[in-house]
Amino acid sequence: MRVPRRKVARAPERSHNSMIELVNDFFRQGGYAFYVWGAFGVTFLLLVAEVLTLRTSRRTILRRVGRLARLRGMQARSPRGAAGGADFPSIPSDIQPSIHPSVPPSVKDRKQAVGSTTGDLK
Amino acid sequence: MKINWFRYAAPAAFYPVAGRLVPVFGHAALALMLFALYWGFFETPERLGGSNPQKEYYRIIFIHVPAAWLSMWLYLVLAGWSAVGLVFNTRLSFMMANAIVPTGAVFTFIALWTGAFWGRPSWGTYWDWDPRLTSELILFFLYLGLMALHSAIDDSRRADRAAALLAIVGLVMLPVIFWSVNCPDPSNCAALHQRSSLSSIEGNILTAMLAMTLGFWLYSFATAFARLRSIILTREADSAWVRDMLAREGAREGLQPALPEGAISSAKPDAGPDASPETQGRAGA
Repeated sequence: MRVPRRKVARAPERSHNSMIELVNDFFRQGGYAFYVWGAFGVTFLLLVAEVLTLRTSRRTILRRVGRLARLRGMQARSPRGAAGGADFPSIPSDIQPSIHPSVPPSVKDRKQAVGSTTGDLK
Repeated sequence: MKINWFRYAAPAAFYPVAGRLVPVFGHAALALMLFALYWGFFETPERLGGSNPQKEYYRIIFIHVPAAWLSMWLYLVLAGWSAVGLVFNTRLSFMMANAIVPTGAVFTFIALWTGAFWGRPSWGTYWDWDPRLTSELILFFLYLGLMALHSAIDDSRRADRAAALLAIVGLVMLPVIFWSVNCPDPSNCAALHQRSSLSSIEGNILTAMLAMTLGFWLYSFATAFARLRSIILTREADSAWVRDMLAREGAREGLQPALPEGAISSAKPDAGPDASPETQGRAGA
């Protein structure tokens, strides 16, 4: 990082005509760029990360719950259950515990899903 | 018009309401934060204070103070929902409390982090075991503890109750943080945090600070409601309303919809891309 760590006592010899000089001054923050941008930058990153995490976890849950609902529909349709259906060859492994027709998804499975929505943001 | 507010205590009823509120709060929060950033960087003086002024680094105040306020306020709100859940045994209250926890932890961490980056140039140290810094750190651990406790108990109802109890016990930290200003008179001792009042702050600095506080608050609403929706969806995955809603909403969001019964064998959405080269190959042979 190119920012100075210590206070730099700069003589104010700035020519305010130059736009570049103004922008430079702004990013320099009087020599405290490391502290100012270190604080603002991490805040920005954390908030963006939280929003992105929420978005991905929502998509994951929608997919998972959608598959679950689809399997329930198949179970209701076919007495052999979803596992016997030849028209659905690739059942993802993360819903395996619930595909047996007589076994409802255990509390533990649902709990893991909750954990993924709330827990992964440290 | 009379609205039956208790209707919205049902997760199925509140789920769509929260969905409509998330973008409203999100956009308002973004606008307020951008305004606060502009005002804080371009409309404020470069120095803060009189004889020994703080230089440009004082601008960390525009995120540090709002984040610290929010860290305490969100804890108060989540403890309140926990209490409501314990007293009235309403599922949605617990879910709301759980939805707030990660956002509160984020703001607590931001308060600590920005405090360190402000402390180095102004106090000469990133960290000190000052009462306020220490108690805020304990609040951060409380947030982490709430998440850990809730995810450690498999039965979500029991997890709700245990986490709610811990949240209420943890309330003792709030007055400790609030009154942990160890030096009432700065001329007697080297205080890190000093007593202050909003009326003594320069007007433009106050404007940016309050705008950022409101922005952070609306952001918390948006993230908490978004997380609440995920929690509701996960816990109610087996119910009929979720299945109906997925059938309607799935197509709109570009995800594989939960097909209604009987449509699976005829539609076969997964077979499309795989089947076409096969048929082409057969046609070629």
